[in-house]
Amino acid sequence: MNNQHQLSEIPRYTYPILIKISAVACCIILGLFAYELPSILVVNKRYKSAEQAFKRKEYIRAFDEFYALNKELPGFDQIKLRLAQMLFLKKDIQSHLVAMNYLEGMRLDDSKWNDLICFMPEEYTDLFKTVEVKS
Amino acid sequence: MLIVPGFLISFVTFPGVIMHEISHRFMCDVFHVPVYEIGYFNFFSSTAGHVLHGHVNKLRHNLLIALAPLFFNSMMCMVLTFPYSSIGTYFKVHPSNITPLYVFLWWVGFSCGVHAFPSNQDVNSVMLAADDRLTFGLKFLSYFVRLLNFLSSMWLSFIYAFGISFILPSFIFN
Repeated sequence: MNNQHQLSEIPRYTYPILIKISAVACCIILGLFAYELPSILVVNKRYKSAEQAFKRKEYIRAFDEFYALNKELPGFDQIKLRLAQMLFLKKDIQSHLVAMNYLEGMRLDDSKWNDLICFMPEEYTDLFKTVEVKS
Repeated sequence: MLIVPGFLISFVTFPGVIMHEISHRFMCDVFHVPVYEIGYFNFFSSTAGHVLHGHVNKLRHNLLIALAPLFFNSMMCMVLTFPYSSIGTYFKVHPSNITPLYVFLWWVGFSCGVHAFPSNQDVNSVMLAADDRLTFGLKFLSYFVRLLNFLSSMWLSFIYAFGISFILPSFIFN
């Protein structure tokens, strides 16, 4: 205890500048998320609505909704997959070509592949190749 | 079972170590306990961080100073992991272009969760201060914290951090 009295007391509530900067940075990122959250919620609501329409086989409505979502969020494979599935339901080759464009470069796991082949004509399966994924 | 040296875990999750020490220090400040020395993160020491504080008059205060990381680190874990845990589990699509920032924040939060358990030294200081006032509850707490720290060598602290990182999203979005 005597040794402790020889040490100087650190002023209360003072923290190193790096800790303060890190705290501010974390708050800014949380703030950004709070700012983005409403739009994320809206987009997900629309996505859920499109998925429900797809599951109820209301394909015209589902296609319109997924198409609009794909324009806003072009990086999401699940949206493109749904668009391709619905295009494969049409009988014309032009729609099938558009569907293939949506699927270009996409990697599908087993469940998505099984989901796709329910809609895709059998002759197109040769256009896909199996990729070994090392885990 | 995969065994990773403790210093490596502390190094990878150093924000949690810093938060652990900040929480001890913050409670010292709240209870007007003088703090003489703080090591927020010591990579080359056997203890990752430390707070050297003066005598605590009340046992209750001593207990709260020792257990502070359990509350503060857990809370920080829940809050900081919230964005990425939400995006990763509840949102199938998101228009965000700053996901890497959320991943960074998740790592900071997860690290806080990993270091939420009070250390054996934290509880030892309470036991020493309690002296003749050592109740059954305190003894139980002491053994319980030791058990937690022992199980942490079997990844319990990681499992705990992972679990609490999904609390907020499941409350809000479920």
